[in-house]
Amino acid sequence: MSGFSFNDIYNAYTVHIVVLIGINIIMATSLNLIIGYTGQFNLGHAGFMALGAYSSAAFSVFAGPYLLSILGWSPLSFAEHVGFMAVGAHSSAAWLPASVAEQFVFIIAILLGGLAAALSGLALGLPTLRLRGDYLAIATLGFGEIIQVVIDNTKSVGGATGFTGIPRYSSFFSVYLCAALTLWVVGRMTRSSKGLSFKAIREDEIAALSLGIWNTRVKVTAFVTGAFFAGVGGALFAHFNNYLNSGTFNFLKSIEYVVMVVLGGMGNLWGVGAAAIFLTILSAALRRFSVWRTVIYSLLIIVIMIARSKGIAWKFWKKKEKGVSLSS
Amino acid sequence: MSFLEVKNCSIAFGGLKALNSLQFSLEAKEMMGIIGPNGAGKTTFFNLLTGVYDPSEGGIYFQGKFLNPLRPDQINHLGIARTFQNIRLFPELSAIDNVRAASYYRIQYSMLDAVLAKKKFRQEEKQIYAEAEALLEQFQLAAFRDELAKNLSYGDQRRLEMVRALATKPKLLLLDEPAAGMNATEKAALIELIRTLHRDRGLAILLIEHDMRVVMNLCPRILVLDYGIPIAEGTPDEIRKNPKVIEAYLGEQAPRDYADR
Repeated sequence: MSGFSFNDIYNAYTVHIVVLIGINIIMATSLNLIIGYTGQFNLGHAGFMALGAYSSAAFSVFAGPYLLSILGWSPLSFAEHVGFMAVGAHSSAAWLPASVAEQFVFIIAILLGGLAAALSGLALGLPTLRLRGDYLAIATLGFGEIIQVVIDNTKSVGGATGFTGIPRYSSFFSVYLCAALTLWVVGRMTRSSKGLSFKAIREDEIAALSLGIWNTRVKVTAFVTGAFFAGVGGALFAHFNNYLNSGTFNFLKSIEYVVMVVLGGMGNLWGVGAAAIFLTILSAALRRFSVWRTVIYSLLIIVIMIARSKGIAWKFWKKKEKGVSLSS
Repeated sequence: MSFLEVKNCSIAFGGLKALNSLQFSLEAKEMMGIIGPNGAGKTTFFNLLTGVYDPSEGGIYFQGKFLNPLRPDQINHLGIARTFQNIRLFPELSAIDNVRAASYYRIQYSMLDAVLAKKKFRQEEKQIYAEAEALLEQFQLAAFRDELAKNLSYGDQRRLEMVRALATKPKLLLLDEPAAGMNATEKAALIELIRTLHRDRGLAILLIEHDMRVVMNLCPRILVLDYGIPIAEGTPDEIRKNPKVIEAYLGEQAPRDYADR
C-alpha cells in the first residue's frame, strides 16, 4: 500500500468500477428489451457483446492508425499513446475523453461493433424466433458458444491467446453517454403505442396476432435493437480494457445479464438499470471474500428473488394500488 | 360477391372432422349468430376465419380476398377482429395499454420517430390515447384506465377484450361467447351494447353464444352447427321450431346432455 498514494488507488479502481457499471447498464438494458419486454429468452447476449467488442477493436487496431494519420495524428505519437496506455498509468486520464481525432475513430468503431452485432442478431433471429421458450434459450446459448469458438480460431484477433494492444478510447463520458442513449432509446421505444407490441408479444402471442401485430417482425426488431446496443457495450468494453479474451464472453457472462434483468424486474427500465448498478457494485465489494464471493452473491440473489419476486425496483416505481381491488 | 363468403370449409384434426362442408355468406353490416352444442366447431370456425388454422378443404373470402394463405395479422389488417372464448387480454398491461397496443397496424410513425419524439409521433400518440379513452368511456371502463387487465372483474375483462378488438377498426367483428360468465344484469347491458355497436358503427358481427336469450334477442339470422355440420340456418323463430335443432340442441337431448358433462 505504501508505494501508492490514495489517489492512485482511488482513481484506478473507482474508474474501473464506475465504467464497468455504465457498460453493464447498457448490456442489461439491451437484454431487457429482448427478455424483459418481448419475452424472448436469450442466453447468448455475451455473444453479441463479443462480436461488438472484437469487430470494433479490430477496426481501431488495424484501420485506426491509418485513419489517425490521415486526420493528422502522427503515427509516432499514436505508438507512444498505445505504449503509454499499456503501462497503466492512465487512470486519471480515463475520466476525460481522448483527443478529437481518436474519438472520431472510436465513434466509427462503436457503430461498427453495434452494426456487426445487430447483423448477427438478424441472422440469429430470423431462423430461430419461431422457437419458443426453452428451445429459443438453447438456440441462443449455442449461438454464444459458436461466437466464442470462431474468435478462438481467428488468428488475426489473437485467437485463444487474446487480442492485445487495443487503444483505450473509452472514458467515463463516452460510456455514460452510450448508457443514457440506450436507456433513452429502449424507454422511448417501449413506451410508444407502437412499442407496446413488444409487451403484447410477451403477454399473449395469439392475441397480438389477432390484433394485427406481426410477431416475427416485432421479435426481430427487439433482437436487432438489443444486439446493436450489446455490440456498443462490447465496443466500449474493448476500448476500456486494452485486451480482449474470448473467455470473458462465456455463458456465465450471459447469465450475469439475465440475472440483472430478472432482478430488476422484467420490462422495468429503471429497475433493470438499478440492478445493473447494484450487482456490479455487489460483485466488486464481495471480491475481498475471494472463494466465498460466488456463494454470497448467489445466496443474496436467491434471498432477493424470494423477497421480491417481481424485481427489486418493482414497488418503488409502481403507483400504489388504488381503489377497490376487483378480484383477488 | 358478398361481404364474407365461406365456401365448403372443412377441417380435420387427426380423425376428427371438426368442421364439415360449412357454407354460408354474410352481408356487410349484418349480424349473425352461430350456435350449437359444445364441440360443434363454432370456435374452430373462428380460428379458421382468423387464420389460426388453415382449412383442409374449401376457402374463405372476405370482400373478394382469399383468406386461406394469409397470416392472422394480415387477416386483421383486412378488417376482421375477434375476441376469445377464454379471455386473452394482455394481463400485465393496463386497460388503456391493452387498447393502445391494438393500434399497431394503423400507426404511421416509425420507431425512430418515437425515439426522436418527433411532432408526427406526438400528434399521433395523442390521437391514439384520445381514441382509446373514448372507447373505454363508451364501454364503461374509463374508471379502470390504469388498472392492470388481470385485476379487472370477469365481465369487465370481456368488455375490455371487445374494446381492444374494436380499436383495430374492424369491418367484421367476431365475438366468441361474450356473455359467458356474466350475470343477468350484465347480460342485458351487453345485449344493449352490442346492439348499439352494430347500429352506430355499421359493423358486421358474427356472434357465438351459448345463452339463447342473448342470441335470439340480438341476431336476425342464426346458424346452427352440430358435430361440425351446419344443420340449420334461419331467423330465431325458424330455428326455434326446427325439429333438427330441437333434437340436437334443445329437445330430446338427455343422452347427449349427460355425455357432455
